[in-house]
Amino acid sequence: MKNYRNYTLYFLFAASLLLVSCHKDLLNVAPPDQLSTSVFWKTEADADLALAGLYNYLYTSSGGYATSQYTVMAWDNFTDDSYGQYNYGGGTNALTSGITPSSGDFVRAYYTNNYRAIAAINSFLANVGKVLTGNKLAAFKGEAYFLRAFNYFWLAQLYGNVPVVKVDPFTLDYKTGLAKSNRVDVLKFVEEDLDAAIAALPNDAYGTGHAVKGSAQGYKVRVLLFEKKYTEAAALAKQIITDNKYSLNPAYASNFFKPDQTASKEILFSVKYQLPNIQHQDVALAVHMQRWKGELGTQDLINEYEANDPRKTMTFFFQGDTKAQGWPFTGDLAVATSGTDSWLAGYYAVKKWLTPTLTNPDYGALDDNDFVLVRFADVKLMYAEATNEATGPDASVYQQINEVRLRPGVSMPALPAGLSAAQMRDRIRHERRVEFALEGLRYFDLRRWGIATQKLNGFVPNPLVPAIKTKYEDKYEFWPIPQTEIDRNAGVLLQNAGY
Amino acid sequence: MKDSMLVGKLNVLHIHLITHLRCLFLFILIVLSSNLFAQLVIKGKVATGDSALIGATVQVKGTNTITQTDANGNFTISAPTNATLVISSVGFGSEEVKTNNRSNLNIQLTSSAQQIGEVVVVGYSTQAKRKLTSAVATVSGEDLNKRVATNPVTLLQGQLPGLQVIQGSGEPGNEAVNLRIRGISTFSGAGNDPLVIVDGLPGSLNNLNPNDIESVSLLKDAASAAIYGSRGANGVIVIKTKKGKGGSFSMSYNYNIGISNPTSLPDVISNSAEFMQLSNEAYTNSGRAPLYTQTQIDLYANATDRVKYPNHKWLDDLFKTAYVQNHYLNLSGGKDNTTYSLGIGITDQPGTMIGFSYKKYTLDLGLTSKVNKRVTIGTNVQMRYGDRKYPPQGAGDMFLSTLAQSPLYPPQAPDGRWIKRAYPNEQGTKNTVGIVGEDVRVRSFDYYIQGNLSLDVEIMKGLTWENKAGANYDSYKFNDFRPVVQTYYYNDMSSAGLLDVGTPGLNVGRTDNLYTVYYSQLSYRKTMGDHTFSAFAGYQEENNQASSINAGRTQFTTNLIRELNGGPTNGMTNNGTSSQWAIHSFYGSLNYDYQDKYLFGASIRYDGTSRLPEDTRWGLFYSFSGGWRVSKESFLENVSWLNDLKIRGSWGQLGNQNIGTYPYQPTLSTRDYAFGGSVSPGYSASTLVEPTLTWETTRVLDIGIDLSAFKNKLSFTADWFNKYTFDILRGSQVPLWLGLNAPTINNGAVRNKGVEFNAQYRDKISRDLSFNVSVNFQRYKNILEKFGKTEIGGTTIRQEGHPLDQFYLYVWDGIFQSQEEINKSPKQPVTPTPGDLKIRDVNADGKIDDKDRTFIDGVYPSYQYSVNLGLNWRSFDLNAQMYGSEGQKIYVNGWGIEPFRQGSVPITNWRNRWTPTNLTNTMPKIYVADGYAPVQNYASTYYLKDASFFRLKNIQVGYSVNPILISRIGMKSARVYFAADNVLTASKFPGLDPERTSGGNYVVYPQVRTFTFGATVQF
Repeated sequence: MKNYRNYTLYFLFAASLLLVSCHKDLLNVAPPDQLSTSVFWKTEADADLALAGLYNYLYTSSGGYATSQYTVMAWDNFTDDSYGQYNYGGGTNALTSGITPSSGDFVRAYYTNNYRAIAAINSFLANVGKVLTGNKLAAFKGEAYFLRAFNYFWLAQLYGNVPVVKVDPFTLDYKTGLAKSNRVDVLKFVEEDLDAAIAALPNDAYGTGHAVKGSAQGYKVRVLLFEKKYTEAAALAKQIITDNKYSLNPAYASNFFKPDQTASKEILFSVKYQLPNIQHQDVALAVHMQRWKGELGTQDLINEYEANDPRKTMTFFFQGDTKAQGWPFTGDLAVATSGTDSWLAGYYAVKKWLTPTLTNPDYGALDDNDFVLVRFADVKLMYAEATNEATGPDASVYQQINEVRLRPGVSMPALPAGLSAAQMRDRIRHERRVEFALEGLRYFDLRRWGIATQKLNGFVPNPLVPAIKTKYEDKYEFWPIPQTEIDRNAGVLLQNAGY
Repeated sequence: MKDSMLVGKLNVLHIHLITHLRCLFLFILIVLSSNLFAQLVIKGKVATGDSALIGATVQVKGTNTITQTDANGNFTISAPTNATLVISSVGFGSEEVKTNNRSNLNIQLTSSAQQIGEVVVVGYSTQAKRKLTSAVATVSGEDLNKRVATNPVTLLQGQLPGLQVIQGSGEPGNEAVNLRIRGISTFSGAGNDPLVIVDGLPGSLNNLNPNDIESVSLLKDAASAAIYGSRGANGVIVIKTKKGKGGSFSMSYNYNIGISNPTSLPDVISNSAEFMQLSNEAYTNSGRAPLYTQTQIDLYANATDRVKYPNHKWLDDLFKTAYVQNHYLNLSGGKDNTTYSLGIGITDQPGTMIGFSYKKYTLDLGLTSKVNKRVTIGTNVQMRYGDRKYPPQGAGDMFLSTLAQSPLYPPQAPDGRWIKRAYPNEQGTKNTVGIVGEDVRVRSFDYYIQGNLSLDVEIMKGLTWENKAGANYDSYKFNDFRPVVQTYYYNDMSSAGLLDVGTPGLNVGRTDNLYTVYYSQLSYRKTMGDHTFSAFAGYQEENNQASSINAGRTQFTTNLIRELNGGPTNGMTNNGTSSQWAIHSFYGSLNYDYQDKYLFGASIRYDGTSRLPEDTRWGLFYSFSGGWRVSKESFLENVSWLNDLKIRGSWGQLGNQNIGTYPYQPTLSTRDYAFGGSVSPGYSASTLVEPTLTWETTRVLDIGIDLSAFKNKLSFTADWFNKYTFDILRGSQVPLWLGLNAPTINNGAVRNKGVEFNAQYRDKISRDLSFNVSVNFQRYKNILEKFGKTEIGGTTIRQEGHPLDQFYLYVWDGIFQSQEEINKSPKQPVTPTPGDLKIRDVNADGKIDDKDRTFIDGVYPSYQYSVNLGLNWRSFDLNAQMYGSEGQKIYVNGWGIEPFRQGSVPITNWRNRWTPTNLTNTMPKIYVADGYAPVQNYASTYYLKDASFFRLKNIQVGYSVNPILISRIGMKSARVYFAADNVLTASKFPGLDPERTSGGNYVVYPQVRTFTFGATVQF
């Protein structure tokens, strides 16, 4: 009986201990490696952290090299300039089988990328006033306005009619759908944001990666041209030119690789990379482009170059090229040979964007070239185009084009005098195609010029395989809204026409 | 504030609950009134046939008075005058005998060699099988180990009705076994994996040695699983490991060697000239330039030098016969109230696919000691060390990459250089033989230990206080080195770049996980006349902490050093994190029966989890069940053939919370940017959270029948169930324009209805010959009842009223035989030519588009079944298991099933392809499956394959040496056996094994057929 009593006592003691020990603190746990939103927006430094966070959305990670939004060269695969031989993100297939609301991944990926960035920007704008005041607040907001316009302009160009969200997404009632706005209204909002950005951003040369006044102005010229507001576009382009913060890079090719591009005075905006921490996705650019020939130039583009235009050999490699022409391979691959080592016969291997110091790029190679989004040459040619459309080919038009053609190392002859406006238009279109090959502008140029169907429907990318033709329909001027988005806004957000 | 008020309320609730529990404990204490009946000393003898049974357990029913028979089968026990004695012995059925004032009893036990003990292990306790009111299936370790396998999970297949076991892969140490109890009940991240309990505490079944398992119980319905509340929604598998038996010391040793090969491999074209011609035909058909010139084809067709121009069979390089060896040593025994069992296992398992290997070392210790009359302590500890090597890209990629090699070249030139392709314009991918040859393999080391300590105190008769504390610790590390290796083109041995091993360099990582748990409970059993009660209540705390750290370097200057310090620091990377979760639970259970005839059970559990917000984290789960032993009724008393008949039913609710670790905390994600040549840290909030997140709940109604008849020779169990899961934890469907990650919310419901049964018959035909047959059958139907907006995936659909993830496909309607037929047919978005797929215009609108996709059955099997046979004749024993699954279809594409995907070799079936001179309707013309739109544009039934199968899963023949012969050398028993696993399969599935977990890529690590020779000796 003594034993029994003892145990009872032990038991009662232990049981009460147990019940006391059922502390609920262990149930309150938080992620140890992530900051809680509740501790953010308390100090000035949080504004810097949040601003860097907004730019980070320029590193889109979806789509591989071929359908990643700001891997700009890949946009040329949708055109008559180049061919993406690997079907990343469904891009190559869509080229021949058409774009549908659920094409590959890219129709949804771009749309999602832009709205994710916009959500972060709206949240930033709603909160940054908590920690900043005065000029600093205005400048930070200016960058956010620029980035918001940048993202909405992508949406407006691709999908055209899209929902416009201007407020902090965390305060939104997302359970009801949202209708889309017309492209005109989306663009109006883009212009408003760009005007706010231009007013707030410092009038410095671009360099660190932060948007400056010139970045916003450059984009606005692009927007105005897209809207065919030629007079305004010309005036703003002229202002960038006369502000004299930018100049053409005397070495054309060095706009496209590190470290030279860092010092280029020609760049108005770019996506910045930095080894070793911030690398391109998947593999080095040179492995995708030169080793695997993920992107190849078409014969049609090669034919576009005027005889002896040095930009041709600064952009592409040709049969028989060796180290002397910058061919990066040695050993038994030392001589560039079409039809070998992933180089599909009938196409041209790419040279632009290749860092000249890399040899035998392969797995493990590193490069961190910035993706250039706006160059001064573009501003000049946009000025020429806008002026030519608004008032005709006056001397300033010639001057701006010829400066691009006559830059050191390019030194192409000046345009012949006496061109009509229509002839000048053709010259400008030619100049843009060769100057900006593999820079992601051609697809949007063809669309805004209204000649995309004519150029791209039935186009044969490889003359050796005439059976394969690309497909383009007029309705692609407005890409389809992703099917998921239509489903989730059922009855409220309607699909674009023709899909 | 509203929030704090709620917290306050909950605190109050909490305190109430604690008070209630205290009251409950007190109540239990008070109920312990003196229990004094007239006592009688009973003597008796237990025997089977003419031979006395030694060590049989004799227990006064409803009490803890217990004794064992001596060497002559005799026992002495004191019991009330009108008591019932329960007599049981391992390997025999249980008998109940009413004493009826007798003081001398002769009791006969009938052998039931194959039947698991009369007592079933259930949640936090054990229960007499005849008293079960819930749906529980059991299998003994002995039955389980009639098959030979290194992973015990695979052994559960076909043993437990209601449990679906699919082995996803034959990869050693990574079998990807998929366990589903009564179907797929949720689409949430919380998952469908059942909870595994080892020796009373959550643990791992994978990590056990099969030989250490004593029994496995499957808790299928709410009544049995509700005691595991928060974690029981997908059912519970309860494992008991060996703890040793009383009696003298015994040692046994088991060795076996298995010879393994893939069950089935695709038959591919390996004649180079034929391959080249087919390739050219496919490229031409696909509108692409042919790869090979006639000269090249002739070189191979007419070659006499088969080293230079081989017909290389790559699959023969990839698959080799593997010799799997198992050693198992068990020491067990007991003395002076202490029993123990020590098991040591060594498994050496090379893969049938080159590059894979697994070595496993296990140790299991079970120990129980009765410290004194009232106190029992015990422990079970399982340790496992696993050493696994595998190519970093995994088995699926190894397989498909090997298929994507043409027969035109060997993996390695005679001079040792690795080959990329024969010609540069050939398509293809990694040289897998080169990858293994250069030892590009991840080395992983996994140390796992799970153990528990128990302390049981019999406070007074009928009342015990049980405590158990345990921990599982897992430490895993890996070393993944990728060397720089050159490759060459075989035709001229020119350089072809680096072997594709990903980015050369080294990654190493370590993760560890510590899970701790303890519970303390009081249980009480009491019989008062016709009334029998048993109840228990307790408190449990679980805590889990995980952490990981990884580091990497690239640009190694040598392939010889495989440690971090061997590489340059420039560009080195590292990362690491940790996480934590916890669950606190109160639980209780009550069982009552009247005259052993009317049975009632109830259980309750109240769980709080760290994964849910403070206001909604506590969930209440409960169940009720009842049983009626009809055979005890007077109207059936005279039915002599009927031994037992019970009808039972149960209803209850279970929870699921296993969704991420922090689903409700709003956090910032790291988003850095490279400003001005350096990296600037950045953050952004991008995830919405739902502050009222709560439990996913499953409600199960189960009705069952248990029957045994003809002197217990026949037994039959059947269950019907209706399992409804609601408030499913899922990512909500937010519009894309919101730009935020969707919050995890409670939304959606899935219902599974089904039946399952098990029938067993055992008999002894003569003195020498006995046999048993057991049949299992299960069938269920799944319906997505509530989902919101329909979601269409690549090949499946989630729409209310349809099975979850039902196939949603275009219908393949044969082959276009002529241009004329194409012209007459509905317009397709692609431009077909004769020999391409004809797609059905389901909505008959004259064109083929998204709206022509339709619902196709077959995502789940219609039914599954198994038959287990056992035969004993003199010293020979034979066991066989057959297993089948009917009605499932699997969507497969890519390498192996489609021609020339990344240059992959076609299977020989393509010899029957459509050509202008072979107008077949069963196969299209040959194509290059790299985006050939007329075929690949459609997710169609062309890719859907019938995966029904019936297979002789296992057959084993054993011979036991006459014990008299070997007793002279100190052996108690010796048995030699031969077993064959995955022996024969009947299926329409093309080429590969139909037993697989998923569709998508056709190739997966093949299942293996193993012939095993083994011997067991006992001293």
